[in-house]
Amino acid sequence: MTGTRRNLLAFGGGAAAAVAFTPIPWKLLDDVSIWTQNWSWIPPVPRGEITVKHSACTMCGAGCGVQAHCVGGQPFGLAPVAGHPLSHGGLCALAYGAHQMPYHARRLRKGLSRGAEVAPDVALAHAVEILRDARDARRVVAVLDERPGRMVSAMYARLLGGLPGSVYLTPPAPERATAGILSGWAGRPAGFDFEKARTILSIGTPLLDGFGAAGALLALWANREDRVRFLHAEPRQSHTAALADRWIAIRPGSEAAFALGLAGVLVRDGLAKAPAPYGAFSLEEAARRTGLRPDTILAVAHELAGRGPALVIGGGDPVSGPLPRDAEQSIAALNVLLGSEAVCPRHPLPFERPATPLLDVPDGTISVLIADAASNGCALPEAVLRRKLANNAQIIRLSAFQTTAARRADVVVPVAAPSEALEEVTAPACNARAAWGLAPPLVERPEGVYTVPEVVARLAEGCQMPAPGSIDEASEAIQALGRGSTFEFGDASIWTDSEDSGQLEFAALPEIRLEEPSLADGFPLTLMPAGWRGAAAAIPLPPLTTKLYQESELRPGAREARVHPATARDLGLARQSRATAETPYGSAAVSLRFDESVPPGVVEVAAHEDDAARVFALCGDTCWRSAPARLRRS
Amino acid sequence: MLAAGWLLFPALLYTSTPQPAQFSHQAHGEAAGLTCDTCHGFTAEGRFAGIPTTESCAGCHSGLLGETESEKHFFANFVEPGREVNWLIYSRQPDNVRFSHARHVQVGKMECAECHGPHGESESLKAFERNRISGYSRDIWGPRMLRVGLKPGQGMKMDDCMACHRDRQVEAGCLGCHR
Amino acid sequence: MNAETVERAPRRYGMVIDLDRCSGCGACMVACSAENNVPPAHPQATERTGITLLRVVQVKDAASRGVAFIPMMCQQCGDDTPCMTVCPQQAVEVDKLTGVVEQMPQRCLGCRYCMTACPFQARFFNWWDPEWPAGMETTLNPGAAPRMRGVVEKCDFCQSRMHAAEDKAAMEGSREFEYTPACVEACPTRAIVFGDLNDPESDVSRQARNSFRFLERLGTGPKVYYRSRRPWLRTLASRVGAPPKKENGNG
Repeated sequence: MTGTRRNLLAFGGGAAAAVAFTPIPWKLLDDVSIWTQNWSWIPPVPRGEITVKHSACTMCGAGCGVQAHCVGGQPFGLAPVAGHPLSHGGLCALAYGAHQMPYHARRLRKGLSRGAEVAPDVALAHAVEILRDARDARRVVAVLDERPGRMVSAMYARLLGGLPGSVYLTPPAPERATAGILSGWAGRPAGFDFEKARTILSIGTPLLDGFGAAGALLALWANREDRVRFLHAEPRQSHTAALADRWIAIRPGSEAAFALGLAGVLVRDGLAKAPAPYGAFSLEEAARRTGLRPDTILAVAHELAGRGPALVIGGGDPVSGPLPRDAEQSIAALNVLLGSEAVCPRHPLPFERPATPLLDVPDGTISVLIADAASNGCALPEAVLRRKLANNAQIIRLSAFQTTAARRADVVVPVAAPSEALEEVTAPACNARAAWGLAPPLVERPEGVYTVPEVVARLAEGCQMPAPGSIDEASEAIQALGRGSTFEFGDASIWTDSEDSGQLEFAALPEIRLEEPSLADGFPLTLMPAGWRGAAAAIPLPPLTTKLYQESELRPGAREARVHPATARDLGLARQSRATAETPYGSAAVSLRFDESVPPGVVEVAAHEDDAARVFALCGDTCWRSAPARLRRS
Repeated sequence: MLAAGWLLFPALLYTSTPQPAQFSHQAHGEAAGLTCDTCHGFTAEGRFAGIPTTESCAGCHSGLLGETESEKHFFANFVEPGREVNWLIYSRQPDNVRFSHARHVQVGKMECAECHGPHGESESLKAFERNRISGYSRDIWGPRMLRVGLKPGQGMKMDDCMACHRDRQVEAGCLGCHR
Repeated sequence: MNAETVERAPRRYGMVIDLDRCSGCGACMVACSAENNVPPAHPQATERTGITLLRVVQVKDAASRGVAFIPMMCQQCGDDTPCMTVCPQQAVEVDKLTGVVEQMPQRCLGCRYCMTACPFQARFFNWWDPEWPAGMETTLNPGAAPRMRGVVEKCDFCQSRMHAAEDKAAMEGSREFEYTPACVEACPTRAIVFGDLNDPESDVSRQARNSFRFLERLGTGPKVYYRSRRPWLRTLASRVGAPPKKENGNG
């Protein structure tokens, strides 16, 4: 056959027609469609045996029990533990993403020495060297522990015992505030028995949104019926304000005046069960300062006194910090005046060591600061911490994550992330009964990464000090008490102390001096950092919480500022526009949103993860609750 | 072209890989008196445990039991070093497929062979033929390119599942078998 | 084996959500994403393009200064299911055995007609391929396959959990089982009740009797019911499916 163009075309045509009678096109179609359903860059789901492990969430100090559903030993989902004495079968949003923390994009698996990556043991050796030099030079060493009361805390305290002049510190936390002041006045630990309370008034403190164990308080709220009334005083309509039976919208910064006004009514109407210790306000004066109608204050005071045991709770916000001292004292004093049975004595844990509040330490005195890795979920602005440090002070941080604070430390020793090491769990400091338990690890920690007790032991060893003990001592000490009850769940357990049957006797209340708000000319607005528990904490948020702030508007995200539409209108600012927030301490660009739940005259700026530092810088270095501010179009 | 389509194409479409170890289902089944579920069992949660681990093999094969080359190979390479065998699974389905062995075997009272064919009587493990495009075994499509006259136990595509469900009038919906 | 032994009584899964118990904590949203292998947000994702199969929205009433949080997920419309009728791919079906509106990502073409049709804005498009930081893929739920870029997904009442419960029951030779979706389990205030609406004795049936649904007048027969003592929420429910999302800023 001679090849002609015609033959070639005929062959081609025939071949093309024949292809349709072969499996080629059909099979290829099928295979390609299966291929497109299984892109290689989409991770396969893990395979393996399904098991359940038990532990506790360590994202904050609340100690909620968790059940981890695991495949091949690896947790893929967490669930609450019914009947758990601390969490009451509930968990918060942070807990449901906690099992992914070991794989967080900012996970630290190496040490950092002045910002540069080094091997973990090199970082630890560097930390030992700093500590040894400080001891030899007799400089002040401090440990900052966000979760005091653990056995590890006692180990830190023992380490510091070998370093004369050292201080064991704890940052402010909402749960410690009111109970802490009451303990001071009573001369023994005191706590709240929420179950006994019939009225609970929270002032500037998000009691139902990031206070203590979320599950316990939310269960109390959800099942309250007519048994318990929740009252909440706060300038903005926060989640807690939205959930409360009564929201009392006080003026920003008037928390102390509100509490003193209530005290004034209690004294005037003969409802106080303790002598009036201080110049409680007249109703009119309180109304003027808080911006409330006098009958509102009157009604709240009578409700507190007339419904049975009441609790008044302060402590401030996990993000925008504690209330001013005068407010915290006035709030604590209200509990004394009410003579509440819900304020109870509390047995301390046998290894509990008293910690000095960080804010009470004189400025510029600390030469070496060791920051523990545990987070209580609350913000502690770097500037506030730095203010307490001497010139050329050195910071040693134990951290599982590469946070802004970690990058600024002199040495970072990498430690286990949540769920990677055996950790201690204690009850929130406000609870009337102490609790202690162990949270077993759910996954193995990466090689080279230390546990906190290991680091403490190595620091002591490096300074030729006696070994600071171990966590095992705690269970022995608790067993030796021979009281309390243990709740067992799976392979974990938690011990709760029995009730302290003693009585609380309060010394005469100190005189409370009202701090005058500082006024700054040219700053007509008030800037308030806003956020939610965990949003600006010492450890990053679980990755899946993006659902709450970035992918929905349930929580504020970075750079967001909320103002009342009327405030914006007065300033000629448009919705969704960019603006610059200015305070006497600095300025920052923000993206404006209108929100009618923000009081007029207030700019709420979201303090969120790494961006929080920028926001706190606007508030100066003593308080991070508010600052005089103005807004400018940019 | 027809010839190429029917003969050459299938040969080009699949790569052939021998299994990392050899195994005779016949020797274990008939000779040793084991049934399928001795090794391929369920967990208490009703999940199919799949192919046994080396540890469970070693439960019997703590020492050499026979004299075959394949056992010696298995013993030396996997039991002694305690390594898992990277078996190539003929019936592996994509992640978006949910197949409940428990529902088919425990509730539906089906025999393994109804889907897996006479695999349990095989004397040796055939080479694993991987589709170059989709990555799945040739056994999913079945031995015949045309997919006609497939015997029960040949082919594990959705069509095959659907055909059986239709025959038995068992409704499963989409999410009964997908996830 | 005959058909009778295999058919079980068809169920009609539904939910009743007590809006007076929802605290807006967001635990359900995170638990839902973990259960369904929804990845953390893409850096560019917004509240419009992110994936929240369950979304808690905050609503306010100016007159009473009331605030409520509404957990919104696929409402599992049972009548003239809008998303099903518009799907050109038959990728949406109402399951005869459970009443769940099934979304098949494998069939989805990504045309997003269903998202337009959904009165509740409860459907989400995968604008990006799912991505997890290195190592986090080991925390994926083995019961749910991750979806790819270009397909729509939505709540399916945690079929992964139903499958697990079904398998467990099957081990005892039974077809009877109960299960709890992730959001129901996660809710610290027990605001969500889940169960079979066909069973008149179930909690969900009893509570559904004294409740309302969003956009009931459209006649799509949602199987997610809401309860509240606040009258303004009932009024709101008759007006909107979900508070409208913001103006679309980026396409």
